[in-house]
Amino acid sequence: MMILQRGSVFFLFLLASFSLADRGVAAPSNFDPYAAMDVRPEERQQHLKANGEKLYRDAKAELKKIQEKREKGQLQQIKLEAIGQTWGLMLQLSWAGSQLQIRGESTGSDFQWRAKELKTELLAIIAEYRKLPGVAKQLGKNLARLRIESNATKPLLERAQTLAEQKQWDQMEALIYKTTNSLEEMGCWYDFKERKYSVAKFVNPASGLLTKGYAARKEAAEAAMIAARAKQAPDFKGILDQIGVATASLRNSGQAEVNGQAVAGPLVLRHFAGQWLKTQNAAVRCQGLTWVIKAEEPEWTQLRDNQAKFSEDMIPAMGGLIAADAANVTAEKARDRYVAYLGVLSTLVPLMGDDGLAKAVEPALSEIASKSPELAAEVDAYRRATSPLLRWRQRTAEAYARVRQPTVPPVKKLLASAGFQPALKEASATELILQTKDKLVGQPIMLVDIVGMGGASNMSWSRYNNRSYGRVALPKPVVDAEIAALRSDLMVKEGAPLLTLEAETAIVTAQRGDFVSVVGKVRNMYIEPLIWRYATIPPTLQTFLPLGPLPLENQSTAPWRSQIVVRFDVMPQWLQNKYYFVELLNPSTKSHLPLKAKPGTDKKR
Amino acid sequence: MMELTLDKPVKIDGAHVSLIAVPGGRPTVLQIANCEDESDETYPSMLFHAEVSGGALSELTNEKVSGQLFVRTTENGPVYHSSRNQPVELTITTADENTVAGEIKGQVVNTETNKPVTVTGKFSESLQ
Repeated sequence: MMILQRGSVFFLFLLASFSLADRGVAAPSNFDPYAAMDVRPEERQQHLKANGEKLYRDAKAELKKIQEKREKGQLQQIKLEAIGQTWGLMLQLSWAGSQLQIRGESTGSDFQWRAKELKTELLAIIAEYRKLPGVAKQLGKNLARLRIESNATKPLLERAQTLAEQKQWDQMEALIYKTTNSLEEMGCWYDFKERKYSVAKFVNPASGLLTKGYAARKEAAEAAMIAARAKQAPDFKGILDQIGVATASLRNSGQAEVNGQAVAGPLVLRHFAGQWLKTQNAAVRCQGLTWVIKAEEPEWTQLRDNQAKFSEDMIPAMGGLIAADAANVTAEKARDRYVAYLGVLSTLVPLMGDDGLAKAVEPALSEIASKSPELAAEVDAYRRATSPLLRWRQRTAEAYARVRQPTVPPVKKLLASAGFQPALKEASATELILQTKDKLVGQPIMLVDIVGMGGASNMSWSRYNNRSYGRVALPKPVVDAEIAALRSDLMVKEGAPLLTLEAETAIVTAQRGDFVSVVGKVRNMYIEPLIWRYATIPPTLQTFLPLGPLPLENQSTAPWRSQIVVRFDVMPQWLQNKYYFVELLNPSTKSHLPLKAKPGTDKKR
Repeated sequence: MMELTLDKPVKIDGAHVSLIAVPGGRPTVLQIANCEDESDETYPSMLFHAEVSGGALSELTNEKVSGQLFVRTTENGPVYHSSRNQPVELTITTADENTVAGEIKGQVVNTETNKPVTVTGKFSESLQ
């Protein structure tokens, strides 16, 4: 049990972890619902997003000023032109949304929802403003000016038509947007009948040109995305073929070529473990782009199936690689080779969604150990001395978690009870955050299947599941104490390697910050586009999904571009590692695992 | 067999005592379990695990050995386990070619109630 004061300091430390990490996070969140959702890293998209976000924030600020005046009964102090200009900002936001949508960015759809929501609010004010004394007269003058300006747009329309014929889409759009904006700032006051003889003269034919331009640009954007996808296409067959060649080489000579150098089995295994992760990441990214690209291409609609088959084939391929090497290992080399394989496998095995790989490599590891009777005896002794203890540690951790789990709703249920739908079907991401944040932030939540970042990081991530994933701020001092206890139980000693995959994996995953489940309170929530999350998955988040088949995604209720993911920051209350369980009782901290006494300390002298 | 008193008396079939010399300059492990292998496990089930410096059970006679104790009375029931700072104490009273026997006492925690429970008991294993 930690002392009370330390507990308080510790919780402040956890809070600070998130505060620091939040800087630079680009996503609508409970602390900034107005931020834009992220887009792919291409310069054009980034520029459009930044511009759209600025337009949104500016329009929102102008609308707020107008609303404040209205609340004070001072709406008449607002100039007619100011309301028109605010309307113009909203139009520009909508256009920024269209430009992003063309490029397959969900943020574009979100900008359009935001523009629609702002316009609805402003239209209510416009209706009220029209009834103010003296406004009818102003509107009469405004309409006269609008008609004059509309009549003067004929050459601009002709110019836009010429630009369309020349496929000068950038210039055409700039001209149409500018002219439409100028007309709409004055025309937002009038209904269909009045617009027919003014704004519509330009806007109606111009919108036809825009549609044509959008279609052409969408085609170009798709071609670019197809090229980008092809560039990072996962080479499932290529990797398996390379493993086949390396396996044959290990069987024949005890070495295989990796990056032009002949190396021993464990390094070959490490190389292909890296390739496996890269290939899975590439498949995830390509899956994201495939949802954006409308054109149906058989090989890409089969991506998920091909990736699932690859994941299945990789398990026996990796097992076969070690087995081929095992056949050549001599008694003298058995120990080093065995320990080296454990080192590689202990980082790879926990990335799997199940124990398939651990089982697949078991016979080959045993074969290597059996090459040296001395090593085989040592492995057996170490296993007998540690495996029962690990089994009981696991049972104890599971028993603690099981008692506490029923009080916490699963993420899916929590989201449903808050009215959070994983698609922007009826409102913007901002609106969705505003409507649900009070029902989610501060609520208890359980994350499962959590993988640590390792190194100096004090963050672990729950793997993506059911449209959500989360970040956990690790209570480092508490976790470190548990790791120390586990190391002590497994008799980790410098110069004396651990001798079972089970023990080696237990230490590696504990040190990395892996947990079976974590329950805590939602500190922050963020909305990310599903397409973006897949298409831009960074190498550092290769633990986003377990190594294995990609998850099934459902788009039955809304198109892919509307689908979203929610990310949580969680302040842990209890953490269940496979082999230990800790409960953080604010302000004190309680551990539920035994710490053994030093050998012989209680022995009578 | 092992007879323990937790919140109620618990009779555990089997008490396999092993002294395992762990390689790599590591301590010897004294382990007492009701089964030699997980596949043979029946409930109530238990494990006592301690690091000791002796090389034979007879060397541990009348010595107090501090270690970790885990007990589960039913397959899916709570686990009683010694807590981090309070290892249980085991004393081997007999260790000859026919029998290993001893006593155990200390405190364990019930995972369900999270409350400490005093544990006392004895065990014996026939080596013939």
